[in-house]
Formats: sequence, C-alpha cells, structure tokens
Amino acid sequence: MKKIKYTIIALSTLIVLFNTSCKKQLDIKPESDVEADLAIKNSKDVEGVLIGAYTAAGLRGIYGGRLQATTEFLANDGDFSFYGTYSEYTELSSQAPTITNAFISDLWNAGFNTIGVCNTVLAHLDLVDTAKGKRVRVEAEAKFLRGMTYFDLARSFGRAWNDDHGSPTTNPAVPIVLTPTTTIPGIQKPSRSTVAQVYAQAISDLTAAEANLEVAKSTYASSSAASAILARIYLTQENYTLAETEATKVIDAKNNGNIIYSLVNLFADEFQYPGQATHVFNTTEDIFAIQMSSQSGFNALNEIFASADFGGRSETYINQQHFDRYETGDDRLNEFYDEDGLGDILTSKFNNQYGNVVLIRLAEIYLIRAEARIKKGAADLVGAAADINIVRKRAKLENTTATSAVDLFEAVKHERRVELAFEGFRLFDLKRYKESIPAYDSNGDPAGTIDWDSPKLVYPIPKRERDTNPNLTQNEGYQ
Amino acid sequence: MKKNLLTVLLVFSCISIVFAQNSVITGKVTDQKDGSPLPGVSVTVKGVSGTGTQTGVDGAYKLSVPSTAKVLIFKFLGYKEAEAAINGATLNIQLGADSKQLSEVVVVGYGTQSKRSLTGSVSKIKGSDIENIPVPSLESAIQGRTPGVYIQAQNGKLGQGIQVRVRGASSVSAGSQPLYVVDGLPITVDDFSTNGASTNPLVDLNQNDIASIEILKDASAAAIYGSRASNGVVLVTTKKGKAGATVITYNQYYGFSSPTGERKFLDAKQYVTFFREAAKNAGVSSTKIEARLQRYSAGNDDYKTYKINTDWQKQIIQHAPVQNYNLVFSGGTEKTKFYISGTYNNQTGYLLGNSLNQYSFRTNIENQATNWLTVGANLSLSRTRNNRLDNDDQFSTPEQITALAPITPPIDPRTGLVSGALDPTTGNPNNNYPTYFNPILNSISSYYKSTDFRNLGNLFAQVKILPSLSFRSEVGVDILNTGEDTYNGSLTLRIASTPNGLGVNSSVTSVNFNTNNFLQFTKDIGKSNIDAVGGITYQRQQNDLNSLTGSQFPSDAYKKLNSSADILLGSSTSTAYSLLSYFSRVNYKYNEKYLLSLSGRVDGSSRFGVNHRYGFFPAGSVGWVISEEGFMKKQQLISELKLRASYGLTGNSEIGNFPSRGLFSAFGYAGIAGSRQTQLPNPDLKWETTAQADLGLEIGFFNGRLSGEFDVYQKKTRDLLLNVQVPGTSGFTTITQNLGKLQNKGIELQIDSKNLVGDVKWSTSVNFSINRNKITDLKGQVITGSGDAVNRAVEGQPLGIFFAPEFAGADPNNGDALYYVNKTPGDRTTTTDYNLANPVVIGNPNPKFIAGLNNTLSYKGIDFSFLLQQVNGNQIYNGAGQYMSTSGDNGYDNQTIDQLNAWTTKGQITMVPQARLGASTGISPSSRYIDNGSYVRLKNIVLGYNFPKAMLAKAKLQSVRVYVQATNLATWTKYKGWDPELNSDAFSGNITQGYDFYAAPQAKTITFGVNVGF
Repeated sequence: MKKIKYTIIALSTLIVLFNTSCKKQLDIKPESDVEADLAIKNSKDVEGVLIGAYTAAGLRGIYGGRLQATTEFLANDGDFSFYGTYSEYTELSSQAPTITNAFISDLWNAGFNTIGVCNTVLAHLDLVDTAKGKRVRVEAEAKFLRGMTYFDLARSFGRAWNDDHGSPTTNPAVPIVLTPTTTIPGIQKPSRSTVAQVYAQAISDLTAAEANLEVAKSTYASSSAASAILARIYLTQENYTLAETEATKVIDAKNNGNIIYSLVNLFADEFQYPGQATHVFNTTEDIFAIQMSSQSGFNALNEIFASADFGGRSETYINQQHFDRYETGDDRLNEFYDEDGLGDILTSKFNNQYGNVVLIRLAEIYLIRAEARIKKGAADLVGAAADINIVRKRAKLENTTATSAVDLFEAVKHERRVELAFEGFRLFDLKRYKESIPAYDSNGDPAGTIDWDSPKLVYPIPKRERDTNPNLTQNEGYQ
Repeated sequence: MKKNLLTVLLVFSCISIVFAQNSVITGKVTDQKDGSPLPGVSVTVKGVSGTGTQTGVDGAYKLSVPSTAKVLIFKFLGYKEAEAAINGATLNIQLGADSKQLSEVVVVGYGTQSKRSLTGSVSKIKGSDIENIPVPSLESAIQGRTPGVYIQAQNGKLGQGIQVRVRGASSVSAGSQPLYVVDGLPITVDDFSTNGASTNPLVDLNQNDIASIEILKDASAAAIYGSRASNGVVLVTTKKGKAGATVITYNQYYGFSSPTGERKFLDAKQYVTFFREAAKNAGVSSTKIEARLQRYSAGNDDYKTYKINTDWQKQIIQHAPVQNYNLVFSGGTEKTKFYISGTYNNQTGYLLGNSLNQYSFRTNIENQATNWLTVGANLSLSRTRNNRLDNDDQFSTPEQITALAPITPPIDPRTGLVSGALDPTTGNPNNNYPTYFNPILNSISSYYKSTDFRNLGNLFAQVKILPSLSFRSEVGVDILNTGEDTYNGSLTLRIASTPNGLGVNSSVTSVNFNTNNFLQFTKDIGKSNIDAVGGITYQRQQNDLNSLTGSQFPSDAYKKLNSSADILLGSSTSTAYSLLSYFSRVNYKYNEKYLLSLSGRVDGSSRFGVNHRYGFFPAGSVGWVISEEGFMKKQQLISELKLRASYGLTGNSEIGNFPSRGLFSAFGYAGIAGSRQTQLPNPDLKWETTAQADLGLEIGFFNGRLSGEFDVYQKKTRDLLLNVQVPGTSGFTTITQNLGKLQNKGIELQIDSKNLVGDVKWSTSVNFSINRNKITDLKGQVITGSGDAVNRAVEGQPLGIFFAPEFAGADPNNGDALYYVNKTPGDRTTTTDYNLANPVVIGNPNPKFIAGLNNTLSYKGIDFSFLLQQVNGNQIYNGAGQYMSTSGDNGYDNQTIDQLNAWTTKGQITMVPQARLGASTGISPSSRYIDNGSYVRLKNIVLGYNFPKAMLAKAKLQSVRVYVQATNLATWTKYKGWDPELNSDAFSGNITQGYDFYAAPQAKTITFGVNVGF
C-alpha cells in the first residue's frame, strides 16, 4: 500500500509541476511580425508606418506599375501589341475587361490599402514628435499619398470629369474612407462618392501637403510633388489657370536660390540602365518616383514592357504605327530596341528591373503648363510654345512651328504622345482630348471606334468588391 | 488391452518416481494448424510459481520441474491456453488458435484495443502490405487499400505533396490533411518547400519500418486527439523486435519508372497548317507568320517540308532506375527486444533532372528493467536528398515543354547546342527561340536540391504501479531540417532574368517537442472489463527559417553564394505554437457482448485568442457483439456480428500560428524600414468543430472466411475557419473568421474473403466508399480557389466545384465562341459576350465513389497479388487549356490535337471556335476545359516465388523470395490529359482541386526484388 501512496504523491506532484510550467507556454508571441497593440507606441513607430504607406503605394497592383500599364493597355489604339499570357492584359488590350479582371481588382485593393495605411498614420499623429516640424511633415506626406491615390482611383473607376453623361457631381467614383479600420466590427460598407467629391478630397489632401511639405528635392513626397498632382487634377478639371499656377510652382521651385528640377540632358538618361539592373537615384527631372531596389519593390512596367534580357516577359511589342508618330530626328525614337533583329521592337523605358517607377517628371509638368496656357481664358501662346520647345529641344528637335492656339494644342498633344508614351498617361489624355480609338470585331476586323466617353474605357467595379459590399453600384456596361 | 494400459501407467509412475526430486522436461510446441514451431510460448507449472520458461525459435523448451509438478500450462498470445499432464521427460504439444484472442489488435490513441471490442471506426493496414512498394511515400502505398480515404498525388514529380482526405474535406480554408502520429508522437507535416509546389514530409519515413498504419475515422476513435482530429488521424506504428534468435532480413529491389500517359499535340505538318490558317483568319500577314515559323524552325525552311517533327514531351523523359536496399536485424530476449534497420533508397524520376536519394536508419529498443519498469526508445534518422523541379506554373517545369513548336529541333543546327542555349548574334541564350524557354536548359544549367535531415525519436518508460494500473511517460522530438540549395545558371537567362546566375540557399529547422504522460488502468470485475486511460500531453513546435538569394556569379562553375557579387535578399523568420491537453478514455465491456466507450480531450492552444483558448472534445460510442449472444450460438453461418454507434466532437485548428492576432509586418523602402498592418485581430477566433455520427456493422461468415464491415457516417462541421473576403475599402481583403458550415456524409464498405484455403490460397478484399460533401452555409459568400478561380466554395454545393460560364461551342455562322447565358436554369440562349454568360456549376472535382479491389493468391512457393483502384464521377479542369487548347489564341503555343476540329466553314457544328492567331474567342474559363476524371488503375501487381526451405537449408538461409512488381502498370480513363490523378502543384489547395496545369503524369514503375532471411 505504501508503494501506491508514494506513487500517487509523486505523480500528482509531477502533473501539477508540468501543468503550471506548460500553461505559460501557451502564450506564444509572434516573432516575425509584431502584434498590433505593440506596433504603434511612439513617434518612430508612426514614422515607420508612413514608410509603410510608401511601400503600399509601391506595390505592383498600383504605383509599382500596374496602374500605369493597365490604363495604357485599355487605351491601346494599336501602337503596341500584346502577345503574352496575362489574360488581364489581353482583356484590357481588347477594351473588354471583365468584372473579375484581377489587375483591376488589385488596383482597387492596393489603392485602398495605401489609403488605409495613410489613415493609420493620420490617426496616430498625436504620437509624432512636434520638434522640427516632424508632425506636420508626417501628416503632409500621408495626405500626399492619400490624395494622389484618390485622384487615380476616381479617374480609373469613375467617368471622366469632362464626360457629359451625367456630371462629376452625380457620376459615382469610389468611396471615401478617411479613418483606419482596426477591428473586424469596424469594417464599413461604404457607398461610392461622386467624381466631384473624390476630386475634392484629393485636392484637399494635396493642398494640405503642398502647404506643409518643404520645397526641396526628396525621395519622398515634396511640396512640388503635391503641386504636380494638383496641376494634373486642375488640368483634368479644365481649370487651366490653377493648372498653370501649380505647374509653375514646380518648374520654378527653388532651394537656396537654385532651381531644383531640370530636364536631364539626354532623353535616354531619364531611363537609366547602368549595365545591369540596379537601383538608381532620382534624376534632376524626377519629382516623385516609387523607389525600387533589388531588396524591395516590383517594377510591373519592366515586367510587361521589357524583354527577357532585361527581366521582362518579352510580351509587348511596339508597332510601326507608333514610330510613325515621331518626327524625323526625334531622339526619343532611339528609346526602342529590336529584341532579336527580326523586327520585334520594345520600348527601352523600363529596362532597369530595379529602376524606380517614375510617377512625376518635369517634362510632363512643362506639357501641362503648355496645355493650360493654350486653353486658359487669356491664352499665353508664347509661353506655351516655350514650354513645348523645352521638351522638344531635349529630344534634339527644332522649335515648334505652331503659333496658333489650335496648332499649339495639336503640338502639345503630339508631344505628350511621344514624350510620355507607355508611362500611364494615354487613357486620361484621350479622354481629356475627346479622342476615340479604333474598335475591332471578334474577327479582328476594324469595326468603328470606341469613343472617349464609352463605358468600355471606365473600369468595372470588381466583382469581388461588390460581392462583399452590396452598397457599391456597378458601372455602365458591366451590369 | 487392460494389461497394456496398466503397463503404461506403471512405466509412467516409475518415471515419475525417478524424476521425483528434480526432473527435467523437454518438448516442442507446434501450431495445430500446420505443425510449424511456435517460438516464445510461455511454459509454466500449474500450481507452482516461479518456475517457467519460453520456447525457442524452433518451438523447443526445456524446464526443470519440482517433483510435485503434475501439469504444465502453455500460454501464447492468439492461441488457446493448453494444459498437459506430465507424463515423462518429453512433452510435445500442439496449440490451437483462439478465435477470440486472434481478433486483431488495433492501435488506437494512447493504447491498443482488440478489433473485437472496438466501438470506433478504424482502418488498419498491415506493414507487410506496403513493404517494398517503390513509391516515394507511404500515402501512395496505401492508396486504394482502405475505404473512406481518398488519396491523390499532385503529379509525377518525386516527393511532391500528396492530398489525403479521410471521409471528405471538412474545411474550406484550414488544413484538411489528417494528423499523423508516429509511435505516439504527432509528427511535423509542415511543407517547407519554397518553390510554390509543396513537398511531402512523410517521404522521410521508411515504409519498410512500418508495422501497421491505423486510420482513425470516426469521432469515437479520433476525438482523443481533440482539436486536430477532424480530418482523421493516421497512427503509424513502427516495427518491434520479438524474443528469439536474431532474425536478419535483406530486401533489395531494382526497377524502372516511366510516365503513365501522354497528351496528344499537333505534329509538324498539323502545326504549320493550323497556324497558317490561324494567321490568315486573324489577319496576320503571311510574311509575319512565315517569319515566325521560320524562326521556330531554327531559322531555316525545314518547316515547309515538316522535316523536323519533335515530340517535345518525349524530350523531358530520362532513363529512370529505381533501387532500394534494406537490411534489418530484429530479435531479443524476454527482457530486451530490438529492431535495427538501415535502408538506402535511390529513385530516379522519369522527368529530366528529378531524383530522390535517401538513407534512413531506425533503432527500436525495449527493455524490461525490473518487474515493474519497462523502458524503451524508438529512434530514426534519415537524410533525403530530392533533386527537384520547378512548379507547374513555371516555363521551366518539364511538361510546359509541350508549348514548344514541333517544327523546332531539339538541337539548334546553327550552334550545335540545345535549342535556346545560344543566340550567336548576342552571345547570350536566345530569348525568342524556341517559342518559350526550353525546360531542357534548366536541367543543364540549374539545380534545385532539397535536403531533409530528420531525427524522429521518442523515449518511454512504463511503470507498473498495480497489476491493473500503470503509468506511461513518453518524451519525443521530431527534428526536421530542410535545406534548399538552388542555382539558375546562365542558360536560364530567359526565365531567371539574370545573365550571370541566381542562387538561393535556404534552411528551415523545425523542432517539434512532445510529451505524453498518462495512466492506464485495466481490470476484470466479474464479467465486466474496464480499460481506462487518462493523462496530459504537451506539444510545442518551433520553425526557424533562413534564406539568402544572390546573383552575379563569375561563371556557371561558381554556384555557391560566397561567389555571388550581389546578395539580393536575406531573410530569417520564426514561428511557433504550443498545445497543452488533458485527455481520458474509458472503455467498458460486459460479458464480451456489450461495449461502451467514452472519451474526452481538453485542448489549450496558443493559436487562438484568450477568449477561446481551450476547447473540449468529447465522444461516446456503444457496441453490441450480437454473435456472443446465446441465440447466435445455435447457428454456424454467422461467426461474428457486431453493431456499433458513435458520436462525438473533433476540432481543426490548422490555420497557421497567429491567425487571431492583429499583425504589423515590416517592409523596406529604398533602404528605409517601415511597417504596416497586414492582419486585423480576431480575439474571438476558435476551432472548427466537427460533430460526427457513425453507425457500423461488422459481420463474419463461415468462421471468418468471409467478413465485412459497413459504416455510414455524417460529419457536420461548424464555425469554419474562413478567409472571409471583406471590402477592400477597409484596407484589407480577407480576415480569418469562424463562419459557415459544411457537411460530409457517406458510406464505407469493406469485404474480405478467403476464397480458397489450403494449398491454393486466394483471398479477395474489396473496399468501396461514397462521400458527399456539401457546403451548407457560407453566409452567402463565394470563395474562389487559386489558378483560374474556376474552383469555388459555394453554398449548397460540394467544396471546390467548378463554377464558370457554360461553353456552347463555335457559332456555326462565323466560328465565334458561344456561351450559354444561363439566366435561369435550362436557359439555352447563347451569347458571344463572356460577361453576359452566367457562371454555373460545370463540374465537380470530388469523386462520386472510390473503390479498391485487392486479390492475393498463393500456391506453394508462388505468390501473386494485384490491387485495382478506382476513382469515379469526378471532373478535371484543364487550367492550361487557355494556352494549349485555344484555337491558336495564345501566340504560337503548340495546340492539343482536338484543336484540329476548329470551325472552318459556315454551318459547321463544332466545339472548337475558329482558329485565329492571337485573336481567338472562347479563351476565358468555361466548361470548354472540363473533362472526365474517372479512372481505374492497376495500382500494384506482384508475382513472387519463395524458394523451398529444403533447398535453402543447405545455404543456411531461412527464406528467399524473388518477385517482380509493377505500380500503376495500367490505367483506364477517358481523360484526355496526361494522367487523371493530378492536382496542379502550383495551385492546388482545399478549394482548387482537380485542376490540371501541365501536371506531369504519375510514374509507372516496374521492379525486380529479392527478400532474403538469414
């Protein structure tokens, strides 16, 4: 009996000890990530989340390149052909995106992810140091990213500002979300705000950013970057005076009395490929660029426009139609290469796999100002010609011969087409210029045109999104 | 007569007298059935304690008995106890088998039970059934052998992931693989592959070391494993030594593998004709198409004469020898038993560059230290090197070679090198010839070595506290280190995008610690028997991962990262979980007739929020052994009849380690570190719970000659752990939530028959199972699988159904693709607008039924067996159809032979739209790419010969068997792809099932082997 008694005592002791020591082990903290309640404790944490907002914006789904590439493909009027396997691009290239197009869905998600991270920063500003204007700067950078994102989402998912089917004040764009989601019950199902409301939100964010950021060259958002996006917005809104004002702020931006931004000498220098794929720093022409390196980021423009030799997929070839747009002697014609000597031509703009994705560069700003100067109430045609000529000169071309408003407008349209080709401008330019693109029937034969205000040139609200949020209406043509 | 009898008695009594003081009795114990010697039989003297011995290998014994000894008692497990009067110095006896005791012993959670008194549903597979089968892992070996277990390999690459579903999938987002327990230790089954295609960690287990595999299927059997038991539990028990002379066995086999099937593509003439037509139809100029054809014809005009006609899928097949050597020593004494084995296994896959090379060692030892203490250890060590291939979604995966044009020669005549290796104009590998990257270059210029070092072991001690009560403590550890070393050489420039090599080196160390401490109680009280177990178990697993990626190597001769001039990526991560549990089970048996079993487990897991850290998983079952009833004794027909019923709860928590936490992750931006939230917290997250009811009938006829087991079950799973889609406007796209319900119900049937006994032995075993899976509640959500997202989880439908618009073939007027609008069921209106066609259920990847038929025959020394396996009523979606069967839409991809039926003339009725180069219609996911996935397969067939003992005696050998064996020798299917047993390794998951994407066919392997016993 004694043996049993001892055994029982020994066993119970063992079990109690074991039990208590193991119970503690049930609380295992994640090591590779940080729990939300520990992630934002001080100023440095919030500044880190601001960097996180840049990384969110730099995802391939949006400013990492697919925003630009998808809109280029949708606006493709035959300047290039796609021979690849991404059905998303195939659909876009034939102006027939489906509501399940993953790249459109990614754009929506990546856009609102960026906005969500910016909202997280803005909700924790109270933790940011006030010394040296840090808090002001953090707030302004977050607002820059949020404002820019809202503008791009609005013009991708909503009808154009100048579209007279309805009006900006009635046409739906995207929902406006200004607070971060931190809990599951906190997930909202917002309705779409109007184009005008989203533009207004973007202008409000960007104006605040412009006012509170330094006028200085930066890898991050700067006052000039905010001015540049504002210039784009005002141009889209046909508010030419303000567009000119904002463009001029960028062009004349000075730091310690020195002009900050200038066109690089050679067009090719703007699209550097230093022997091998590697990170390059912003050029004097770059106003804002998503920073890429071998350690971070994904250049989706490289993926889709470059050849396999440069890390791309060798799937997008440029057609003669595009080369026919260039004047003889245009240096920009040299930014193409024949992949194999067999006439398969690609653009060299995105050959650097780890090259930055440039979102705003000075050449565009000159062309915005030129366009604004032509179109504004009291047109400044001389100023417009001067702006155009700056861009032409770098392309080793003579000054424009256009003098009339009509001719200068044609000249600026032409310059944008060749200067900014494949950089994600074409869809919005053709809407602003009310141009149409050729349509093809299912046999591939020409079948009329797709007009600038066709619902086919507006993205559908992704099916995934409408499945989760019944408050979202679908765009015309996708019901 | 009387006189004789008297004489005999007298003689005996004399002998008795002679040996009265200290007599020695010798004898031999043999089997009543065939007269074979029985080793290890316990021999004791009736009424005298402390005197006893055991028979040796030859069945002989020698025992000193006191003068008072009258009767000897012979006891041997599985045989009727016998008593024999001592009648001299020699006492030979035959023991008869005890049909009651003979009932199989089945391993269950934390113990064993006789099959006869089992009230749960457990399938047992004997180790001997799967020995020497040349497949990379044990799941493939048990495929088709047991009902209720659907096993599906991904593809024919060696060591790839394999899907095992016990009674259907009971989860949408969480893991659906069963829990694997080896000798009481839940082992690590994480997939540490980094190339997007999963590997199978069970490859590290040596099949030949397995004594038995038990699959716990219903709640009664599985609930003692609590929160991890919903997907079933697979208990693997390794071999133990037996007392007696050391048995040495040597097994060796050698053989060859080849693919089970081919897919038919266009030949050179068909290709050229087809693409010229496609170009014409798409308005592509003849100059352009001819230039392209010439390009793919290595720049010459051979394509015009179809001189080169390459069948690319043959180019990726290599000579594939398979060899395995296995040496085993086992034996021991009454007190110490051991089993020592060593195996070398070298399998070359039939796919170019694929091979698996493995060493494994095992030592199982058990020692009875004192009359109250037994200690032991089961330890295994293995090293598995897998030379792997890229996942199915890569241009470099072997089967993607079929996209290349048949007019392209394997060797480029311009360079004399493999096509694509060199472009003389650039000095680099070609980037536009052949059509795509040539996977053969990968096998020349790259490697992908995955090496597992695995140490699986546990120590145990068992203390006998009372005759009826013992305490067992087990401490086990599963240490798995998987290292991956990959190098993409300069020839892979076209896919690796780096001209000077790309290397990745990564390593995962997983330490899985487990301890079980429990009391076992067993006692007979009158006609009652109580068998109880209860205790505590604690498990903790930590995985530490490191990886480094570098590029820029001086040349392809330098392959290690110390030679890399540019380190691109470096990373280390850690993850861990722990589980603290309390469990108990009580089995009560009355008069061998009435059975009751109750079990329960409380699981505490680190994976869930404090709100739901502990879960309780109870189960109960009853059984009635009708054949033990008096009224059954009168008849001879039914020898065994048992009814059983069970109900209980099990859980599933396979969703990663931190799904309930709100998480921020770090990201770098041009050298500056930042972070952002990547996961919302869900403090209410808890297990998926499955309530399962099972009704079983076990019946035996003709004294066990014919036996059957029939089960019907229903599994209802609630609180599904779902990756729920949320509005993207929240900044997140999915959250993990307990939401939704699904159910599985089905029937299982197993029939075993000894058709012939005697000289010619023939037995047949049939199993058949039906499982119906249905998602009953997803709160209206539709969850899509990866790949083309045609696989869906939809309410009211089985998990993974194919959901897409229904293809209506080519428009007879113009060859455009048509889809059915399907606005309402049966709506046959057609449209060319894909967006207008409503998606409908176009197929189901879940089979209607699965079955197996195993036959074993033997006559004298010859043995023959074959196993047929059937999967029926499922569909397969060809995700690569959009490239290979697309009326020439996808550039110059070679097309499957059925594309020759493309529409050409007005009025033509065909399912293939007009061929239009790069501009065909009907390429979006639809029922166009659905195919029949049913198949019947000759899974295994063996013919063996055992040399006669007499002949071997001269060579001092115990046994020699030679055999020839084939796995997957023949497959009968209507599937047009390579092989119907597939799951794309790049996309497969719980939802994405039956999705073909260049999945390489299974291997057909023929081996010749020999087993020698010394």
